[in-house]
Amino acid sequence: MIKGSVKVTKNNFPSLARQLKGKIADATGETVLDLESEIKQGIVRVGAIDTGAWLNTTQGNHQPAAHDGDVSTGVDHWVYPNYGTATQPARPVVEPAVDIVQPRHEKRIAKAMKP
Amino acid sequence: MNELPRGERFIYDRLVLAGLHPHSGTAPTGTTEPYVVIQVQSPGNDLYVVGAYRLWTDPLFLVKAVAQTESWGTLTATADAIDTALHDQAGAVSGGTIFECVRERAFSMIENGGGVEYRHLGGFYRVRVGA
Repeated sequence: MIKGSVKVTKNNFPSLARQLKGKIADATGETVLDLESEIKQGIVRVGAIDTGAWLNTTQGNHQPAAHDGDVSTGVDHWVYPNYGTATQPARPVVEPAVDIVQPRHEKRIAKAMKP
Repeated sequence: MNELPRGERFIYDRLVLAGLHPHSGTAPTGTTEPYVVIQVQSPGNDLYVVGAYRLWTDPLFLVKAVAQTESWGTLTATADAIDTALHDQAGAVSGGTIFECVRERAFSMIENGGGVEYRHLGGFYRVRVGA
């Protein structure tokens, strides 16, 4: 039987964790702005700007401490153009924007994880 | 080669096999309810490997049952049939290979207008299709 032991003389994990938190928060903030921008471009692209309310109330909200964020809108009727109605075909905006931004977010997180 | 029509064709064929009568985009006025609609919700992203070989693209389709109703019960059987026909499926269509078709999440929407209520029930299906 072979026995071994490890002696920790220096612990860099707390320092690395602190640095990582900041980088992840920055990456998440960039993604929130990116998604807001892509959604707004999508609203214009599909012409869903009758009143401008959807476009003007779409806003990213970044919560750095929680490494979280979202993009919200102040109107409820965005679902009708985005998902279609009984009489109108859909003009999707949100899902295409998410699909565009997701790989960019993964790259940002991968970059943040590098020492 | 464009993968989107191949992906939609796969979904259409699977739904027809299940005894449903799907429509692309919207259904004509007067269509018997509940009816089924297929729409491209997102074109997705391409997956490339060495040599710029495009392995697949992964469009997201919204497939839903629609009816003028104030009860989800009117739509449940059709929505269930959609999911049975599409979730965790693969196969081939003319000019394309469907590597995978899986539901990403369920979908429900209540549409109110002019005192009339329509309900939409179905799911988002991610299709990995090569052509």
